[in-house]
Amino acid sequence: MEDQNNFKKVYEKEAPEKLREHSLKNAQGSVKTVRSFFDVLDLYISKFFGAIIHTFKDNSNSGISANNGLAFGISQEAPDEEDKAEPDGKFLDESDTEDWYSDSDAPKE
Amino acid sequence: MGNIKKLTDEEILTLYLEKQSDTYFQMLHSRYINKVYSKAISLLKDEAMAEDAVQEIFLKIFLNLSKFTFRSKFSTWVYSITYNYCIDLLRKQKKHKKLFASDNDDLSNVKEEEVEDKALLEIEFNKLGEVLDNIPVEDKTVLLMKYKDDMGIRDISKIVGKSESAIKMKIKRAKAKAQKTYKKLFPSEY
Repeated sequence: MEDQNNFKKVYEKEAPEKLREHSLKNAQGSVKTVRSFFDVLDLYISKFFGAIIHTFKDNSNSGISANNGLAFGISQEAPDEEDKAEPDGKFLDESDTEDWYSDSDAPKE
Repeated sequence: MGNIKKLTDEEILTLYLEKQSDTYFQMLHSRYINKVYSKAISLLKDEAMAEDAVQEIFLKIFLNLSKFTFRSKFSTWVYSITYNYCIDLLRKQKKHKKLFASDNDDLSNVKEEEVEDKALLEIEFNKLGEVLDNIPVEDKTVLLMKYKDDMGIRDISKIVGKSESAIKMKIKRAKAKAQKTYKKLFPSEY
């Protein structure tokens, strides 16, 4: 027979119906808002970095002037081979984002 | 789907994280709403405050679900968030500013003898509630964590920010205070 433990019975109280509804809706709403925020953020980050890389590539191809490079804080030295952007302009890969963007945040299929 | 009610919290959480379905979200919420509310009201002693706290606690829980590491029971994790939140709220109140801030309890009237668990666990539950309401909130909190929520010393020490040995001592003293209060409130039963 299990030992008696009346601590298990103490302070047992049902949450009011209104609170049950509110807290569920509130939590669900916030989770969805945060999820869509990260979706939008993800979209902007990829577009932003995509645009930078494209600009950089275009300038490199057309022989960017030293002054333009300085104005944007871009080194005048030619980029190393490994620093070059991917041909498709992508900057972030999965491993870059896994720390702060988990699969659970991904949009529903 | 028929046996969904038999799933453990951890299984439901895994399904939720995989499928992001509202059904699993609601299940976890309905399993814990009363427990979280009971804890909040027992510590805060104010219905409106407890209701606001419950809303905030569930926000914290659901926004951090993906951070749950499955190293502890899901219930322990939920209770940790609940206790942390309530302790922070109490600390913001003037009278509880130093909650868990010092080990220097007023022990002048408390004998350092070990109180057996059985002596406390078998007190009739409504009298036990009264006893707990008449000891310092710090003592009540550690006793509830240990005996109601079956939390380990390590979990308790992480929540209140004290060493494990300090927690063991705190529990010992809290038991002594509870027993003394019981004798005082219900002298005929002793």
